[in-house]
Amino acid sequence: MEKLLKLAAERADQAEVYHVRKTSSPMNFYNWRQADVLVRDLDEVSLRVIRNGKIGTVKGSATEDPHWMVDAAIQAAEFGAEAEFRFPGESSEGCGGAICDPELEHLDPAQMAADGRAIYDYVRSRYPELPLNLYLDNEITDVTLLNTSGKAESYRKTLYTVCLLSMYQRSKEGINKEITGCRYFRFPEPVIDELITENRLSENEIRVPTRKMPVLFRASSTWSILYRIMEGANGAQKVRGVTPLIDKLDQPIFGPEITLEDDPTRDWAPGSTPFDDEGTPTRKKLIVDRGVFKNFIFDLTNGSKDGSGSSGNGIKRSMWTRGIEVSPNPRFNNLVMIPGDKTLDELIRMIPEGIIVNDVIGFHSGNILQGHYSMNVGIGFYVKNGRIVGRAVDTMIAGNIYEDFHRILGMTRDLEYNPIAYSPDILIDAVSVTGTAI
Amino acid sequence: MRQLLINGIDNADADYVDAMYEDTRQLQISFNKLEINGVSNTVLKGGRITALKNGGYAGASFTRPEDMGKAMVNASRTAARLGAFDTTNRLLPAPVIDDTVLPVMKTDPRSVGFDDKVALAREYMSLILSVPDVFTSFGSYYESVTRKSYVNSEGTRIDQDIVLCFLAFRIMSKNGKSTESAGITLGYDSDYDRLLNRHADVEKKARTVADLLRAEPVRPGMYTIVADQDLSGVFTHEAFGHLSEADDTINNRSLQDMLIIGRKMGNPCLNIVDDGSFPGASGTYRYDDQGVQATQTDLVRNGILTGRLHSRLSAAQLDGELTGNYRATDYRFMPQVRMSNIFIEQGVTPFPELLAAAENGLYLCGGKGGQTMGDLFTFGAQYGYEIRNGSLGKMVKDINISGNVFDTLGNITLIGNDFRMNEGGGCGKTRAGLFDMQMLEKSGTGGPSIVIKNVVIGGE
Repeated sequence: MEKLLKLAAERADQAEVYHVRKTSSPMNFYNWRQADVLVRDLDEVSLRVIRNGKIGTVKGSATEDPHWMVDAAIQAAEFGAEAEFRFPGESSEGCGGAICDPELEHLDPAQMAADGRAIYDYVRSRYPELPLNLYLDNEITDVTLLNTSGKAESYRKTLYTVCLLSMYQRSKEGINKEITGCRYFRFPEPVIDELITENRLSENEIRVPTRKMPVLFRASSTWSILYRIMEGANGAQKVRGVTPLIDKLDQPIFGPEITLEDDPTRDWAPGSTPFDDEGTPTRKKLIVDRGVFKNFIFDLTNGSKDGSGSSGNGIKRSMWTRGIEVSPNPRFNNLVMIPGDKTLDELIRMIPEGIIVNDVIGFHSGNILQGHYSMNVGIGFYVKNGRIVGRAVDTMIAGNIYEDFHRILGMTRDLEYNPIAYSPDILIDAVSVTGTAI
Repeated sequence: MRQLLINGIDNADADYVDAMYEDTRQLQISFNKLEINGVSNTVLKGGRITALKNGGYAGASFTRPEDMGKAMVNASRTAARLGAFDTTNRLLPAPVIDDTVLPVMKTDPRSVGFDDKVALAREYMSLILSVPDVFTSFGSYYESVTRKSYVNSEGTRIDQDIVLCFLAFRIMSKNGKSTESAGITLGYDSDYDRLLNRHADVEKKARTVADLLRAEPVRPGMYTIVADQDLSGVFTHEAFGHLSEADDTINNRSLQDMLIIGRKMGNPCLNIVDDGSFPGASGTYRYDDQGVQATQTDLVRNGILTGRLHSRLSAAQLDGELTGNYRATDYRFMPQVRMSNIFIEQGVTPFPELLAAAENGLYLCGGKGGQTMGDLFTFGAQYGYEIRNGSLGKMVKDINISGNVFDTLGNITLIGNDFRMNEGGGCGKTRAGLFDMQMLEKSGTGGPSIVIKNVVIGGE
């Protein structure tokens, strides 16, 4: 990698090498009747050069001929976008949180399989007829970043994920429980109990009336609405001039209950890192402070266009892909929503008539930047007089985060990580619910 | 590469093993309005081994060719370990293939100069930006060339050259504070010619995005709808197609019972096929990731469920046939059963008669994402028009469609004679929650316009 940087530096004004080595062994168990495992070993490198004020990028496997890579990057820079920034040289010492668990570094796949078996045994002893798939993955990522500003740093991250995917009768899908973090864990039995309870409750299918009612978003579904603010606070959308938050800095956009921060220092959190994928040291920052909008997030490119510089959020990864994306984009490290003071039971008891949403389908529907959502309740429950009555079927919810987040009735005191954010369960008043009850 | 793979699998300690190595080169030129805002070259090289041992099935992927041996051992050992508690996997016998596949095209995108590609994209971009109320647009030219070699221990040897090129634009309109956006994709095939002379399509889409500013949000409720070809394709893919992917059916007895072959799915006019051999469509390919030839699979014939999509594994377990649908996004993933090009076959009813049948319903156009969860589906339409006594009325937007697949398929009453394949495609599928989503590029849809009764439309 040093050689690649040196070759690039000879022909460009600035250069950056980003090297990712990833090993993992995702295991899928399909109801114990079938299983597959993929032992992954990926080794990728991306090179960015800036020449005559223009940037060029190339990505390849680590074995790619460095001369070819430099040629390709230089050629790309000829037509590249203007880059008015310097690759950062600042040290990242003291940034980030704990992200490498020695136990995971040496975890035997047989242990993972045994943990999976234990989950099955636990479920079987309580609800033998429940169809259940399991997914376990232990991923170890080594990242090295070198640039011509003198940065030469690396880190190792471990990430352990366990998903329980149950299936409803006559259906392909059902209630899921997923936990992911940088530290090894045994899947907690209370969460398995909840999965079982929710499956039993689902046996009673309820057609829900159409009206405005309180909706309790479980932490497993809040990402679908938080995604709207994540797009709105994305500095690239500000530079493009398309976010409605463009002139809202230091103004209230949500009710005072809402505080959101981007926290790359959180120990064992999946998105914590000492530096982002462009080498900028990461730092914790407020996005929304008691309802008041405080900060956009930026990568180097958008930060320089905006004039505010990178906020340590240049990520070379998109939502669903593995490996390196060619161009960085502003993304949250760990979006954290500051929790409330209630328990889940307390929130449910606050609902005269309403819906609990575990999982949505169609999170991408509606005008995302404007904060709209209009989603099908994939997994949800109907609540009457503070008690869960059964599964809410054929139900849609619609709203706008910039209005709904002024009508928070309460939030739980615990945080859970869903695929893109840490969040509590959130109870929102008067959300538009469309059902099929006559 | 072929010889390297053959040598690699030669002494594998497994009942069956296959090896794949691919080398993909991608070029992407991105535009922000007329400016180029990035050019990137990407090489993606790697391979995957899958092995079957004592009924256990496992894979290993690798980046460095010299790590193939290690991957082979990993895959075989893991398969053996899984075989200790799961002995149900076997492969349906498949023909041994020895073939080399070259792309079919009038103009090879690799033969077109960089400047010509840029000039073409800019031509369309100028056209987009000239439409009133369109305030910005991002575009990209994308080209990928994949060399893929596949061998298995049964003697199959396949080399494929796969070329893909397309132009995509995201168009944004603005009026005061409100913004609207929609995208258009041109091409999505190996032939560069498909990108040429498309000015009328591009301009029409840009005008639609501008018109959306003045459209009213649809009133939620139950409607009879006419879905255009785009939307009928998305519907077929999302609502029905995913249920026909047999790998999810294997371990789910109740799902098998629900999707029993011979079940009535719709009216006799309804025919649904998946066809990976459809010439020039977005999801067309010759061989899947087990070396099985892509083919036309009848899924629904005269309203009756007649087939499922399979891998060799799922076909063996469910008494199915080889359909050639076992595909992975790239070497970094295990293959899954995926649709190729799925569509409702051409019907007989002219478009005006579809509108007449919908009376006071909605004409809905353009798919906008979508998702299924078992027999529930939801997806958006990009825009639509009210139908008043069989004629098109004012434009509506913020349209979200959801329902139960069986009810909805049963409610398809008329099928148009205006069949068309869509350009672009792509599909995400996961069997493991949100943590292992596979976005597959080559997945095509199409179809004729169709009439569906009693559709629940949600909006704001």
